[in-house]
Amino acid sequence: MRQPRDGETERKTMMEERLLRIRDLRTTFYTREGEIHAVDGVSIDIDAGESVGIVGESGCGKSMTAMSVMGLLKKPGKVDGGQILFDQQELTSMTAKDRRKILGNQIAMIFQEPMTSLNPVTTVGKQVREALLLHNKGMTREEAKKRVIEAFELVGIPDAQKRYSEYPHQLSGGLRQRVMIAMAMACGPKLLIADEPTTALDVTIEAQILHLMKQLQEEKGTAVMMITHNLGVVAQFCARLYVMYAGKVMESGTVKEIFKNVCHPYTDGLMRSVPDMESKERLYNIRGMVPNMLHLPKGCRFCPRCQHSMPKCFQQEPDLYEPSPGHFVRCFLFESEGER
Amino acid sequence: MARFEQAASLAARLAVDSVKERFSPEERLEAIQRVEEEELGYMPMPDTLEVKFVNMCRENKVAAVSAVVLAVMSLAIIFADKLTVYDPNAINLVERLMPPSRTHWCGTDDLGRDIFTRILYGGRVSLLVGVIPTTISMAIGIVLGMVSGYIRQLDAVIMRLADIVLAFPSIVLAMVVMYTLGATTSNIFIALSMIGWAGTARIVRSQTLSLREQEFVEAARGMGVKKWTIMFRHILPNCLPSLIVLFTLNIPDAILSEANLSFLGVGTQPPDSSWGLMVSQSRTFAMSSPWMLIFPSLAILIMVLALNFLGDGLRDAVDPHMKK
Amino acid sequence: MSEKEVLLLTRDLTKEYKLKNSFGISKKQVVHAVSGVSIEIYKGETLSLVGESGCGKSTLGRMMMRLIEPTDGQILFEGKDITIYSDKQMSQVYKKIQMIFQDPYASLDPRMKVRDLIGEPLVTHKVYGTKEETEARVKELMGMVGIRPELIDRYPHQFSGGQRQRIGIARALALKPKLIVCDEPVSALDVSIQSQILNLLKDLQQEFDLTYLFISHDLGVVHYISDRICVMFLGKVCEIGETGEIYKKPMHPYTRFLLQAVPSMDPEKAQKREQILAGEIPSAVNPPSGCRFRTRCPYAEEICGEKEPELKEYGKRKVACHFPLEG
Repeated sequence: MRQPRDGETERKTMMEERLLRIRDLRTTFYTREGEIHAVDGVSIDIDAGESVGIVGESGCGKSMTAMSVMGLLKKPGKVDGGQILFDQQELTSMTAKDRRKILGNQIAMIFQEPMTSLNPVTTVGKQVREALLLHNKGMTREEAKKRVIEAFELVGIPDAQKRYSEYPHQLSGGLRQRVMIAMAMACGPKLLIADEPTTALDVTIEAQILHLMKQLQEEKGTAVMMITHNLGVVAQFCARLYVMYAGKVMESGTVKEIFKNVCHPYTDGLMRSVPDMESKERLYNIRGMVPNMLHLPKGCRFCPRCQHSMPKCFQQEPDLYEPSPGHFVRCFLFESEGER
Repeated sequence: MARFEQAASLAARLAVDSVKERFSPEERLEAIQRVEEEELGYMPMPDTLEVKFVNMCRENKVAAVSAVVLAVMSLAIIFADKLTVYDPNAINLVERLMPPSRTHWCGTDDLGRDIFTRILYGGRVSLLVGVIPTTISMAIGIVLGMVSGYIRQLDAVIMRLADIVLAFPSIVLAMVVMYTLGATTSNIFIALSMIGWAGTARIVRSQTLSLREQEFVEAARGMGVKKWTIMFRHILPNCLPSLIVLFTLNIPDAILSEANLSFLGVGTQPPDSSWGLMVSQSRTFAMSSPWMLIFPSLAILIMVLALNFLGDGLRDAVDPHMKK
Repeated sequence: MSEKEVLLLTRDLTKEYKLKNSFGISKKQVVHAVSGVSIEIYKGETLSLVGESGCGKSTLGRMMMRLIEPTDGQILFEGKDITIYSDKQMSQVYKKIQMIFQDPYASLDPRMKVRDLIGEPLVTHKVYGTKEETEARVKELMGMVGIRPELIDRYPHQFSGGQRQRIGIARALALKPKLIVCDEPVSALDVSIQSQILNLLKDLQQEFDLTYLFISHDLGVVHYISDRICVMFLGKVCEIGETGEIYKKPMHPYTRFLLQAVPSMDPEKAQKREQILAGEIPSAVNPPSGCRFRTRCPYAEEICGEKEPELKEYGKRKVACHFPLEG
């Protein structure tokens, strides 16, 4: 558990005011072959209006974290432990009924594949209208339709009136994603969870959508949890970032600090594996593969792939250390820097 | 760019640090390789068919029971002569229409023949009629279905043929064949084989159409593999799971078709028996001597159910690694 | 690095699909997937085809192997026109041109063992007389791509995505081809695995003197691996030339917008509004008249709608634009 250090009373009061506080979340999948600890003691904070990136590769648990917050976990997955505090309310112990009041309304989510998250047999206008009516009991259909068209215009859908009556398959990928954003933003949520929102889009369309999301975030003051594997997106869009690997947070801090003074060997390796557009120097390879979640190695989860490992790393799992204020690393290399 | 400065910064910072507990590069490599060896242990050789079958039985009790039931029934039918004392065709009017008793386990029919014996002997016909035409018609259907799905030019022709076959009530077609060829047991096989292929062909064709677009088929084409080789090496094995289920569903169809044909007089000819014929012959006596109807029907029911459950179990056993 | 010997060249290569409605009757609409593309690939180089969805790069790559039949145009491989080859002759061509696919889950037959997957090209072309020789070669190939030879009897589903892609690469190398068409080979892989595979491809190219036609939408990957790039939009070539030069000074407006759209990993460098290309990607069924890019191009003028720009040479580069950008 995170304990505030001495002289951090300011921070303490801020912590209480945080919009989203995920504390030591544990989500496990109980499969035939064994237990998979997809999210293994993850703590994430998001302030109101802040954009936070969750970065990691497949299997690291970033999507599962979001699903746990939204209560969208499918069997055999279960939230096993920890807390999710949204606006001081504890989400894990809420009834489904109370949760529904919050989801879609105060917390909204957009997904990677707009084709599968939109109902193919209903017009896009009706779908967004449905979301509005669900959370605004007093609204009439006409009012809702007006709001929907306004929302479409806000997200930059040309010919909004016409598009209201179109079906998802008639729209391009970029437009569908805009519809999803409109649906998510329709009820004015405090937190928007975006799970790889631009991964399936072409690069020029991706730029448009990111720009749009940034605009909306600034105008409406919505906090954004941006889940992605693309470090470029994080650098451009997020203020703070969490790097996840095999179910745990490996590094966290502000984007500027991490990109300048990267600490964790995994984050470092990741950054050096991405080709930039200027140099042709040989790319760094992180040796090996992501571990099998059913048979995690003893000690640090990353050590079999780490080029800075020590004998200790193969025996124990490191805690989170804080080499500089606000910058946390789960690595024995920084043990002497002080406990978290 | 900033990236390579970072690279230097982490490594540089660490080089400056004086941490005594470091590894030498060789030691580190060793430790890493040890972990990787362990991980390799989690990639075992895939199970052989026998192991898969045993696993299936362990998990799916219903399928295991069905397999046993089918085995017992088949053995009883094959060794019918060893298990019964009566002659299935011997007419004994003194003992006609007797209800089940210690001497006649299933009672006797209207001609005094022991029903249990007739069920076992009749099972031979039903079993053969179930299995052989199904096998033949599926073989024809698989080949025609694959060709239809893979070779566009032949698709229309084959499918129209299949449509014609499917449009006619199968009994009518079978009757036509039987009238033309004459009503013998072997001709039943021919008739049923000729009508059964169409449904299989349709199913195999739709699977072929989707498999054809998969990249592994493209890869095979890009190697210069010939059409027919692709069909039998890549497409057919990937249709296998649904074909297994189809097989177990088609057998009862064949058994029942034969029953209908016999009922109409163009199937198995008396005095030979098949389960279907026994059921239809019991029509007039159904109310007064229900055992004449019940036991052959039970035999059909049990075999059909057992085949269905076993088929489901087999499909799951063959298929699981298709799921990601 | 570039020996100026041309390995493969296309002349006015075109692919058009006729749209049919559900009754199979032609709707009189045509999808112009690839329209009149003429490019050359030099021996030993890596040429990348870059573009967004609908640009035709995948179709073009597959046409090189005639996995998709061209509607029009010619393909000259080692000087000979392979568009008119029979199946038997193409079978010989496949010994020299091979392909690596995008989806590591779909490009390997799930019911075949690694031994059979990598061995299939060898068996098809009867390269070795005995099973032992084939097995030895398969193990050799597995070693080359970094898969332990003991795993020869495993099935694809037991491997990770990156490992499957390696198996696919081993399969492509089996016949010692000269040209390998790589269709988005790393797009479906995690970032850390991408760099492994890219480095593997680079090493193999050096060792076996391979030529790559590398299809991708990822501009970072393309910059790393290719000597020359060809930027495509809606079935036509916009710009083709040396990678470094084009990235530094793109001459076609589309190229510049593509490059600017990539989110930079430098948090200090924010993207500016003017750099973002507006509008949607037009449909390939009714491409805009004249220059196909003009509906999205902020510099379009009247002539862009009337006349299609030709691919003109500017030094070592070719650009198809009426108003190419100056440096």
